[in-house]
Amino acid sequence: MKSILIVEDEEPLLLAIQHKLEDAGFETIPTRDGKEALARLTGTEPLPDLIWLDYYLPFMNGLEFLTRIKSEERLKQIPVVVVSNTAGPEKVNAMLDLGVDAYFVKAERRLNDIIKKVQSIVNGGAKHE
Amino acid sequence: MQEPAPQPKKRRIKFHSIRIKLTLAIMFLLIPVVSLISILSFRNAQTLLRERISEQVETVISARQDRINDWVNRSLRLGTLLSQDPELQALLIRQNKQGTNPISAELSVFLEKRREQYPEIQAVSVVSPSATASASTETDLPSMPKFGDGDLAQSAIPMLYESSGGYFVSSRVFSQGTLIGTAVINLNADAINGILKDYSGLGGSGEIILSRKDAGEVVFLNHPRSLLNLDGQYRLSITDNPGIPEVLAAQHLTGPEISTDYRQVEVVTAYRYFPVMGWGLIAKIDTSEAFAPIERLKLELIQVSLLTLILFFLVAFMVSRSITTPLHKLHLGTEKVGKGEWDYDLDIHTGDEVEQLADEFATMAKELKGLYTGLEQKVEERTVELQKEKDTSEKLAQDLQKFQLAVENVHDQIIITDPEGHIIYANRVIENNTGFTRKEILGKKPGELWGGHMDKKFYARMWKTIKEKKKVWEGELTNTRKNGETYIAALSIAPINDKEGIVRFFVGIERDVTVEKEIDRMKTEFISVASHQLRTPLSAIKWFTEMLLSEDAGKLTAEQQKFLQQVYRSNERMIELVNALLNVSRIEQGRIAIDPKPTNLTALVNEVLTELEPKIQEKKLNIVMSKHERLPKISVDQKLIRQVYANLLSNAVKYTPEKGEISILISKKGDEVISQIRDTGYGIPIDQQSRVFTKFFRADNILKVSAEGTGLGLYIVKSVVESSGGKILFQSEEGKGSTFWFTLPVSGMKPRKGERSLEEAKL
Repeated sequence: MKSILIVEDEEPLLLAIQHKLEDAGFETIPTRDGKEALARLTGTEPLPDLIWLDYYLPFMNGLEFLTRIKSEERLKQIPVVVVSNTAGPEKVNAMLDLGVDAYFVKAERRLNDIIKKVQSIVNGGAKHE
Repeated sequence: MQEPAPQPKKRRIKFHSIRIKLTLAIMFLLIPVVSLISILSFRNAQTLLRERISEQVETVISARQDRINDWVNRSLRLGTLLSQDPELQALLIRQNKQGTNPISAELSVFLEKRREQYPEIQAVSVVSPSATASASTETDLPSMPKFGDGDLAQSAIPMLYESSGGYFVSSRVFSQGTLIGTAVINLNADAINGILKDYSGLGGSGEIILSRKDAGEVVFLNHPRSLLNLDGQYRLSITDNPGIPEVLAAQHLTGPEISTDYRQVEVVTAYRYFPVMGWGLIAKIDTSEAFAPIERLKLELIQVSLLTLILFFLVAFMVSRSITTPLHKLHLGTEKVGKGEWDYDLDIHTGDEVEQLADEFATMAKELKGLYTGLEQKVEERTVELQKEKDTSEKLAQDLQKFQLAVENVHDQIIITDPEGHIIYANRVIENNTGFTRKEILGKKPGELWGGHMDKKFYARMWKTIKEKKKVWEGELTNTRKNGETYIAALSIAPINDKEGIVRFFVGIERDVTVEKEIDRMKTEFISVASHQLRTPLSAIKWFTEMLLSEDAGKLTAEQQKFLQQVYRSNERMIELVNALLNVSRIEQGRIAIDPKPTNLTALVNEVLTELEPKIQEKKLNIVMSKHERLPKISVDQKLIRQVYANLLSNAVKYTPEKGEISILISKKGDEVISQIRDTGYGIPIDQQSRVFTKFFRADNILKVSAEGTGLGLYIVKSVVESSGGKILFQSEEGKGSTFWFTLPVSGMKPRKGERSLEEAKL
């Protein structure tokens, strides 16, 4: 079973995402901020197949988190999908440059559409839209 | 004011002077010549005349001399004839033999006989050698000269002499060598007097005088004209009158041809001398008469000379006048022209250099006229202009006074500057605003006081607008108070032009908007934060509703399904509103990033149309798309322009009833690409058209059709288009449809860094 690490500080949204992903047959690893997520990634547990990343996060934002994992050989292969309310285009571009596989604006997108994209990425599909 | 330069005193030149100079020059030249000629002619004539007169006098005297000689010879012959008369000889012999006077009677008869025989003989006497006896035709013989001298007695040649006015011929009578008597004939003087009175050839004043030396005197033998009434003989003392011609002649001398005679009158004289008788003869003529022609000639010559000179004077005068008159005219002309009578006709037609000069002058005057009238006109125009300017300035000043009264206590800071920006007025509030007193700032430029903190380009643009374009400039700028505190000022500068459009003043109205700006900023930030915060719950609602609707949480009844649909749609509208609000707040904060890329506008429109397709299908709308044949790709921020098309097209779709038509035309004109979106929709009521681009505007008529819509779309569209260097306008008629045009420069948009891009519109 494929596992997805979710980094999302908003409980309701985390819940919705978790629910929807599990419905889609994924194992979910919910984290509420970048620190927690990094701790999980640097632990002994197996690595997730994809990271679902919010931008506005406590302690470190999405870009900072992304910079950290993309700088580590072990972690940088993990596909990342950013699902956020808008960040500035510069930051979005910066994240895309670091190797984000897809970028979604939460309110603009149906959850189903994002899940489909995630599935295609995990199943070795195309990169970001 | 400049002191007028002292006028050089005008020296009046008399043009007569040339005339006089020329005339005098000619006269100076002519007078000696004419005089010389006259004098020479006169001299010549005088000499000739003198010679002629002398010759004439000479001729006369020669003729008279000859005649006198004739007369003398005749008289002497008469003596000889008498002395050789045999009858006389016989009578004398007889007498001598018979003693004293025995035959005097016979002798007297004889003598009488002879006197009668010869009319030349006035009287005749005979005396014996001893003078003891004598006989005469006259009874009285004292007139008979005495023969005392031996010479006479020895000579047989008769002798003629004058004595006391009488002429005598004495001749010796010899008989066989013996003197027997002496005959003395008293000659009739008529003959000789006749010769001496013959003045022919000597004019009216001429005289012939026969004179003889008598001891220390000279005695005149005849009575010339002037001495006709004289009794006795005229005598002159030789010593007293040495040079008198009569005196000279009697001494066998000659004098100058012209001399003074006994009358003390100047005469022309000729001299002769009769040696035997010791007579001097002169013929003379008064110079006054002789040279009368010369005097006449002199007079004539003087007259002629004077006439000639007058004539020459006139000619010289005329000649010089012919030179000076045009010159004088020229002079007058220059004076007239100098006084501004440019068209003054010099009227010089001399056909010479002067006319040439006059022509040149006329040409010059014409040119001057052109220049001068041009100048005059300019001066006049300028005077009128100045008056106008003055009037305008006065009016402006009055207006300004009113204006000042009106604005003195207004809360906005109002300053008036001259066209160079020097402050000439500031209202009271300036002291609070800037910290400077009004006294401190007058005559200075705001840039030296509180301004000057923006970059140079900013001020350059400002000045360009107000001074060159003469338009109102509005903007915000950061200024510094006197105490160093900075503040943000909303400034509006209006150029005040006069009628000619020349900027006279600038009126600047300024407000300290620091607080306002802060409030505004906070407001915008609030909207931004609030909107952002709203998004998370909106996303949660969206997703959970979505999950419910996809029956993740179990089957739904039809009614539950319907209700959840309503929740979902309402939530979507909320998301759209939040997005729009976010866009507006970003636009207003100037935080929109512009990232231009060469873009095919048609493709952009097609993308939008594709997204709108379901709604278009639903309303069975007819879409007509056309474009310029060679529409270039232009460099625009695709997201922003897509937003513009999306808003305009979705409006068109939204507000066009079923089966309506939407036409899109993208064309190029000059350096602009024009996009036209026309619909056959509900249109915008005319009374609301002015508010179309304002925030939250929604037309009344469409509110009835659809409650959805934020009223922010067109506001965003206008903001985007204008920040892209384009323009937007529309035309609309209620019930017929609307047409929107917006332009983009072919040169594209200028990139700008910013934090945010716009949220995509929910279509």
